[in-house]
Amino acid sequence: MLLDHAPYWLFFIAAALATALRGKFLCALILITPLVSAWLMFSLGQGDAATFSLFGQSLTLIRVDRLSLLFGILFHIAALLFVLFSLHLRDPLQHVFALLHVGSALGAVFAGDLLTLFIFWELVALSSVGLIWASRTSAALAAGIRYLFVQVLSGILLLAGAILQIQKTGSASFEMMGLSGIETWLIFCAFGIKCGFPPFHNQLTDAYPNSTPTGAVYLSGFSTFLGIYALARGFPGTELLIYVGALMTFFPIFYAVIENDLRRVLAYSSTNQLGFMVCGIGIGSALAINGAVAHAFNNVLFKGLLMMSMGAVLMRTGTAKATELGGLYRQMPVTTVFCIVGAAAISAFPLFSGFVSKALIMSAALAENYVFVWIVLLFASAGVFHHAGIKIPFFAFFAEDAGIKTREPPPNMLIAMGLAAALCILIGVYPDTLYRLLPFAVDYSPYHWNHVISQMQLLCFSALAFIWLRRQGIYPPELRSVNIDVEWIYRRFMPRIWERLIVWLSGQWDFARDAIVTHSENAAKWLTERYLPSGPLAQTWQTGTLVLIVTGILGVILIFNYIYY
Amino acid sequence: MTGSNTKKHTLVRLKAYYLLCASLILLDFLPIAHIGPKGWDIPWGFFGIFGFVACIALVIAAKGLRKLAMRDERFYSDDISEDGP
Repeated sequence: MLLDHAPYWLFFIAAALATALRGKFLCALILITPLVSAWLMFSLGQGDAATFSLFGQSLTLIRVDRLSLLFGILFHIAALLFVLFSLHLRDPLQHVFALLHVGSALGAVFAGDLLTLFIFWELVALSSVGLIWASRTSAALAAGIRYLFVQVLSGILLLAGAILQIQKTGSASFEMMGLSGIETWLIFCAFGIKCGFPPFHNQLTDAYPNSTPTGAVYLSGFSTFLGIYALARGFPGTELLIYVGALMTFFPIFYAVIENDLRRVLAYSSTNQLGFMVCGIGIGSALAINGAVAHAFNNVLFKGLLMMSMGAVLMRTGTAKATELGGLYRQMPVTTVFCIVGAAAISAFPLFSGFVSKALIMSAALAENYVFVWIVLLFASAGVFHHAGIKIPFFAFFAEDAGIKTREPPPNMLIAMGLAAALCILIGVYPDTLYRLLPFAVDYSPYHWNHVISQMQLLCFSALAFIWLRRQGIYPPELRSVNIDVEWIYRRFMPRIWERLIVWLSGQWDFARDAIVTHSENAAKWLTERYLPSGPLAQTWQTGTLVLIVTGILGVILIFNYIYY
Repeated sequence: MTGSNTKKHTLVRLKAYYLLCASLILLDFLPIAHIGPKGWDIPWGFFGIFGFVACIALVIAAKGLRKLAMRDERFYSDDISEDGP
C-alpha cells in the first residue's frame, strides 16, 4: 500500500523507540531513520497520492509532485546532517523531539489536503517547543511558551481558514488558492506567521538563541521552510508577497549589525533570507518560483552550516556572544573553515550555493520589471554579506583574541559541518545538480562574466566598506546589550499594562471591600440598636399608634391610585 | 611573531585586497554589459560603489538604531545571560 511508503511514519516510530533506547543503539536508530526514510521516499513515484475518506471529506495523506519531492529530499538531507551533528548527545529527549520535528515537517510537505496539513503543522509547532525547552533554563522555558503561542496562533488561523474553505468549495484539497476571500486570507496569514512575516519575526530571534546548540540547528532548518513550501504551493504570484518579502530582506540587516548574540544575528539573517524567497514566490514566474525554492534548499544547508558552527562554538566555549569571543581560529581551525564556507554561501559568492539560487530571484525581479524591489534586494545582498558573511566569522574566530582555551568539537560535528560545506560548494560549482530538481524546467546559467563580475564588485566593495569603517573607528563596537524590537510589545509593554491593570483592579477591590465592610458594620449596628431590649422596635407599641400607621399607608396608596388610574 | 611583523603582514594583506578591488572596478572598462533593469545603462563601477555606499549607509543607520533600541542586557527579566548547556 502506498501509505506504507510514507516517509514520515518512520520518524514517529523512531521517536517512540528513542524514548527507550540508549547509547549505541540510539545512535544507530537516529542515523538509520533518515536513510531508510529517504529510500522509502524515492520508491514513491511522481503523481502518486494516497487518499482516504473521513466524515465525507477526501483526505490526501501523501501527494507526490516535483515541489513536495524537492522539499522531501531537502528535509531528508537536513535530517541526516543534523542527526550526525547531534550524535554525541546523551540526551534522549532532544533526539525524540528532533525526530518528531523532522517527521512532522515531512508529513506537512507531503500532505495533499488542508486538514492533514493542519495536523502536521501543529505537530511541527509542538516538537519545536520541545527543542527549545530542552535547554532547561528559565529563559528557554519563557521563550518556548512565547514561541508556542505564535505557532498555535498560526495553526488556529490555518484551521479556521481550512474549515471556511471546505464550506465554500466543498473540498479540503491543498492547491493554489490566491487571495480570494476571508478563508484564503486566514490561510495566508497562517503561512506568513510560520515564515516569520513581520511583526512575527521575533519568534525566530527569541527561539534560536534560547535553544540548545543542536536544537537551534533543527529549528532553523524545517519550520520556516515549511512555511515557504506552503506559500509556494498556495499563493504563487500574490503581489503582496513581493513587498512583504522586500521588507523582510531590508529591516533585519540593521538589527543584525548591532546584535551581540551571534545566534540571534543568524536569526535576523534568516528573516532576511526568507524575504528573498517570499519575494520570489510573490513574483510568481517560473524563474522566480524556481529561485525561491532553490534558495530555500540552499538556505537550509548554508544556514544550517552557520548555525552548526555557532553551535560548536557555544558547546566548546559556553557562549555565542561577540563580546566574549574572538581569536578562536587558532583552537578551532577546521570549524573556522566550515564557517567561512557557510558565510561565503549565504553571501552568494560565485562558486558557492547562494550565488546560483539568489541569481534566479534577482533575475526574475528584473525580468518582471520590479526595479525598486531589485534595488532593495541588491541592498539586502550587500547587507547580508556585511552581517552574516563578515560579522559572524570575524567576531567569533578572528577579531581580538578573547584568550579562550578550547578545542575542536567532536568528530561527528565536524563531519556534519564538512558534509554541509561540501554540498554548499558542490551546488555552487555544479548548479545543475539542484536545478534538475526544481519544479519548472530551468533555462538559466548563473555563470556569465557580467553576473560574476557584478556580484564580485558588490561583495568586495561591501567588505572594503567594513574594513574602512573599522579602521576609521566608525564601526559600532560589540556591546553586551539587548535591542528592543516588536517583541517589546508582548515582552515588556503588555506585561506592564497587565501589571498596572491588576494593581488598579486590586485597589478598586480593596476600596469596594472596605466600603462593604464599613456599611455592613453600620447596618448591623443600626439594627442592633433598634432590636436591643431597649431599642424602639423591641418596645410594645400601643394599638392606636399601629392603627395610625396603617391608616397613613392606606391613604398614600389611595392617593397613588387616584393619580395614576 | 612580533607585533611589528603582524602589523606589516596586515598592511600587505590590505594592499593586496585594495588591488583586488581596483582590478574588479577596472574590469568595467571591458565590453561587458552588466545585468540591470531594462533600458538602464548601468554606469561604470555601479555595483562596487553601490556595495560600498550601501554598507556605510547600513552601518550609520544601524548606529542610529542602536541609540533608539539598545537596552541593558537584563532588560527582559527572563532573558538573563543563559546560553544553554
